[in-house]
Amino acid sequence: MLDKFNLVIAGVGGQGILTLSRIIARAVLGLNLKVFVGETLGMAQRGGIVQSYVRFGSNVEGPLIEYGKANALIALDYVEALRAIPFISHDSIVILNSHTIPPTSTLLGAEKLPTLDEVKFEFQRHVDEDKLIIVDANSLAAEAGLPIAINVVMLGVFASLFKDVIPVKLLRDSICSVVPKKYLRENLKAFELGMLCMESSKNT
Amino acid sequence: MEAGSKVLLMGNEAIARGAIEAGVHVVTGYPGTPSSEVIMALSQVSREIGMNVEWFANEKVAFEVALAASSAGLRSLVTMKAPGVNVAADALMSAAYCGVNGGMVVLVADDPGPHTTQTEQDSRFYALMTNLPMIEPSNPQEAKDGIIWAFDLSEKLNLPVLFRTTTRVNHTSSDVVLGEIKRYDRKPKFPRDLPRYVRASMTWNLKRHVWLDEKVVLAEQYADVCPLNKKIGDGNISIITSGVSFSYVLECLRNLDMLKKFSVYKIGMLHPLPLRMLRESLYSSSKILVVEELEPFLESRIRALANFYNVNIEVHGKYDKFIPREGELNPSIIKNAILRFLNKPVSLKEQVKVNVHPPSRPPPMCPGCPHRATYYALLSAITSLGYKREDVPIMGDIGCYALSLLPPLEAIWTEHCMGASISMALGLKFAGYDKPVVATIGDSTFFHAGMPALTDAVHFNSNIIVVILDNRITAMTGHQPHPGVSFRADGSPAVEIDIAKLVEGLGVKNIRIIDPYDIPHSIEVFKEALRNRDGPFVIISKRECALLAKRRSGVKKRMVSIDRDKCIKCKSCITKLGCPSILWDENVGPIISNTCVGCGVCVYVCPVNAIEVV
Repeated sequence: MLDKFNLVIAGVGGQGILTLSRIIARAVLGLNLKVFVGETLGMAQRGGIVQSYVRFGSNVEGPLIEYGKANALIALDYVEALRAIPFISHDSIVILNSHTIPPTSTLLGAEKLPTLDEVKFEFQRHVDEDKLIIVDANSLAAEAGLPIAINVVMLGVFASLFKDVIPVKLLRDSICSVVPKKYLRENLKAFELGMLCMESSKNT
Repeated sequence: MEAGSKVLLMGNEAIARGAIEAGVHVVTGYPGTPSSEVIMALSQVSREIGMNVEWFANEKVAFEVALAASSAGLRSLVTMKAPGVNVAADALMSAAYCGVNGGMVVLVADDPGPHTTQTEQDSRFYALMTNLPMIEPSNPQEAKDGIIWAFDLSEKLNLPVLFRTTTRVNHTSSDVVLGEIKRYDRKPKFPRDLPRYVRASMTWNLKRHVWLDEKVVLAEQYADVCPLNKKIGDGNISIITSGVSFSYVLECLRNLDMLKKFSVYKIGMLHPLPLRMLRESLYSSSKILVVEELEPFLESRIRALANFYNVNIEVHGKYDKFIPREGELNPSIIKNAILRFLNKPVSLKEQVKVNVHPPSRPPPMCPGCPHRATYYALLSAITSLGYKREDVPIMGDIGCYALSLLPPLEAIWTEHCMGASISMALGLKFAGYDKPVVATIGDSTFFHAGMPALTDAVHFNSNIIVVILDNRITAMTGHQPHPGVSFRADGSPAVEIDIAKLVEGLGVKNIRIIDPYDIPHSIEVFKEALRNRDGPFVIISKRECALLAKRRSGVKKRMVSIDRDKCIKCKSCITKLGCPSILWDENVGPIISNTCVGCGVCVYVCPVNAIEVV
């Protein structure tokens, strides 16, 4: 039985991080493991910082992750990934969306917005090269017909990498029960595209 | 859902389920993060299950409504965030003297961090001040089970029971096993018992104090059998903890493979304390570490108990700075505290060196937020009359509009507590300040605590400007109704109170209603108010919360477009408004993102009329 899996999801309010956490947590219920989702809800829908911690296994008791102990980091916004660095180690898998939503502080010119390359170089210092995955989730979500489904594209990438931890079928079923029926087809498509982009990169 | 099934529930949803399983009839509250989801969850099913669930004007009203229901024999729950207990405290103190008949539980959600609260208030001290029993769960399952036990305890003792949570329990989702739903067929019956319900006789009050203290002695018998108390391990080194910290301690000791050396005592009942359990820990341990968030509440009492029992033992915690007093705890802080407690070297992963730093990302006001428009117009009026910005204090209040403190608006000067904007504006005038003073307060906050101060402003004919930011909802906490809207918690109809008439009834002579999206008119009205010297001037800035409007009407395709030939790339649209929908491209100039809702405020800001609504 799985002892402990720690996932950090980072991004910005309005990106569907809490939905993503819920999809994964519900899937894990099907494995009959203890599951905890710790969320920073605060003013989540208003464009602030959001971090979510999804934890499951026979040896999890609470919502927070010890620094350096994340198995994986999913960042829906590559700039927000920087704030999650204390949680990762060289063994962590890091999945970054290649896009960012610029905060007001940078629009006003008061602060500088790091480029994707800068963030990539930073992460290369913290994780092994084959463990850093960069995905153009915005384009894939648009291709799926639902630009907001960035979260589900990222889930597809995660699903492809952690098949041995959570069976893909459980995640797909969970998507069906969590997302609104009206947008189910696009969400499933987004999930497939996320999975596919990992499979094809493995082949090359 | 069936008893025995396992479902994923957020702590607050688990509390809601617990209330259903406990057969609660009446649930009241005022919205406040992290407590709001209890009522939000219950109001979706309340009609179906015959439960009376409602938001009230403030926590004191909500508390008293629930108290009356419990006095009449029904089970009641009242929910609030930590500062709400301060608002309800007057009623709470007297409730300890009259007690209850039907079980009554007071949910108090503290916010170590703080994540969304003005102070890191430790509401556990309310248990000592009122002498009421207090219980604290560690996770969603305990929250559900614990609240049911709290209702039973409340009926055994005839006292309200305080149920104290923290954000990491309220907002954590976890697997929860459901239980059976109890139903009580009780009809409300209010007993006429004067010594119990009338606090006018000092003889009665003294007797009720004695009654309360006898109840607390009785409560001590239950403290040791509280199902939320736990003891793990059998070692002679002890950790005493409570709440979510218990989970960090347990995981940490397992990770370090040290659980065998330790005894972990988890305190589920915070008042009165489980003395048998604590006595055991004091007599059988070589040393004790107390792990708790915020104040040394348990620690100071454990130190006092050691003294009382004449046990000479090494106790560590907050007083010797093993555990920080400020901010919330996390597994890394606790691991380091435990290593230090064992005289082992401490490792600090959080001090990892990062070369690229993320820019700050305070939550902006939403695209189309009417508050942005109101403050823009107000600030424009102030400067256009020749005042310096620093001449005209703008008192803020609790709500989304507090975000106006951020650049580029940098509007409000204060955000103190519910309703304080008006009283502090009044206070500055009372002190003799001779330039205009503005108070800005939301609709829900005005109903909560703004009206008494405005009444005084009328009474003393004080020349303050009061802007009521009427966005037709309690927005910041997730869109709950208030007395100024036409629907209840479950969506059924309610009588809408007209704020303009209310203010008129309070005696305000100058009242104006503006649509904040109409910037030129709004500026004119604010100028008139700034010139006024004839008592309080109230401006009701009325426009539905943009998030709610968007949700209600779907995604409307009303947007703004920029005429590139006219645009001079002066960046005013960005630097004056800070709207998250206006992005910047060095080559093209401003770009309207697809989050734009077409409020059109930027149209007025553009100096060359390059923006129009399409």
